Amino acid sequence: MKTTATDVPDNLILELRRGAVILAVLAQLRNEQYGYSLKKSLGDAGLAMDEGTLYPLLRRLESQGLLRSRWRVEEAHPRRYYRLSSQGEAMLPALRAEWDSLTEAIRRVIE
Amino acid sequence: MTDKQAGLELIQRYVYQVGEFLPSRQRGDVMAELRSLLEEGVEERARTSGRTVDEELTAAFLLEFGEPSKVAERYGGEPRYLIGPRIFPVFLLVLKISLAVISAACLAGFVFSAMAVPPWGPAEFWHVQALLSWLWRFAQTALVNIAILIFAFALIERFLPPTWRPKRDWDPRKLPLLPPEAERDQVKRAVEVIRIYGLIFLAAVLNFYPQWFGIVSFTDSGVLRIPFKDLGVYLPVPLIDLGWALTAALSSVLIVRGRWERWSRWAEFAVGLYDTVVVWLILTHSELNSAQATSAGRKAWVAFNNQSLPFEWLSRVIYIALVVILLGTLVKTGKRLYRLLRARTA
Repeated sequence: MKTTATDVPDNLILELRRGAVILAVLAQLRNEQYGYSLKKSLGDAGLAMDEGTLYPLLRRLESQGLLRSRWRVEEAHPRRYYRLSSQGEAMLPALRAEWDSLTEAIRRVIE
Repeated sequence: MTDKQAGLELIQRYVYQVGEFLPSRQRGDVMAELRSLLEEGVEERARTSGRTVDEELTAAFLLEFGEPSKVAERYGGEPRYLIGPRIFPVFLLVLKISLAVISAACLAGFVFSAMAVPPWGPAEFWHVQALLSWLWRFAQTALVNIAILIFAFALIERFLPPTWRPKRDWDPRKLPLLPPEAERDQVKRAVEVIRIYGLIFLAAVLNFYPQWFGIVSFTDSGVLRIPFKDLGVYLPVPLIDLGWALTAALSSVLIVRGRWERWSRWAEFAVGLYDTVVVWLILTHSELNSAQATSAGRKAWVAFNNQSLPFEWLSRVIYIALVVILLGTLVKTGKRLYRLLRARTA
């Protein structure tokens, strides 16, 4: 993961983004995607993530029941596609509300 | 092999290495997905950089992806344990209880075998070899016990559901009290004064009234007095005096200072080590079963005891007492050293 400000240490940026990327990944996976396409779509939206972080995260979210996955072999490479599970779909609005509340609170605190 | 094949082979080797660090139940699935993602990632990298897939490009891509063990760690989620933190406190408790039981059983076995008749071989056999063989048996039993417990708890850890957590009723008011650090460093002056007077008394008896340094008992039928030397107990008087003098000197300094300090703790350990060596010398050089050494003692014992208990019985009691004293000093000295080293690393 690249830093957005060169004078802020990488580990601080990572800490800051850790929780946020979960919400971003869940939001992106309302539509089925495989790992590499998800990385690209996050990157295009300005949230570049390195593969070594993103792919294990997908597995963890799946093991927590928030995602479900399946293998598809109709293309050149067999690919594992992920999308929100019903539990994830139920969770996403609540997480989004929490995020809105958090960003608003942080904005008030730092201003 | 083409350039592309060389690159893809590098990916296979990389994925295999990641798999080596993964739990077996998720290994195959993660490896398949990782391989697919890496192959696609390398091809995309080649496309965007206007190159073809080769070993150099793949190596650079994998270098960015991360070291196999670290990638596996991210996939594994939690660190892998032989005995994890969920069951470790129970393991420790069971280990302590079982070691205590084994120690007690071994000690009881030793006392029983030392008191049993026969065999009651030459003095050097039951003085040193019996003790060493008992210690060896204890070490073997303890090691086997530890190994079995580790194996059993590792099996429990392996088959415990990942989501299981021990249920504990947690109450802040039931937390253990803080160790009395300040009190622990405080010197108990009264104890040190009593110790000094006790040592002076013992040294006076040993040096000036050695006939009273032994077993003394006042009963209705008379006075039993068997000096230790008449029982064949080896008494290196200068060495014993030196040990008592060192202890009394340390106690005197502690009374003046009022507090335990780092150097006095080390001095206490050194004196304890010295005492252990002296007790070992007494045990290994005593000739409790030697007819020549015990003739006077035997005569006194028989006259007093009217032959209801054989003299050998007394010898064995003395021997067991010396062994217990030796073990006591060893354990105490070991604990002191452990605390000193732990305080150093803390």
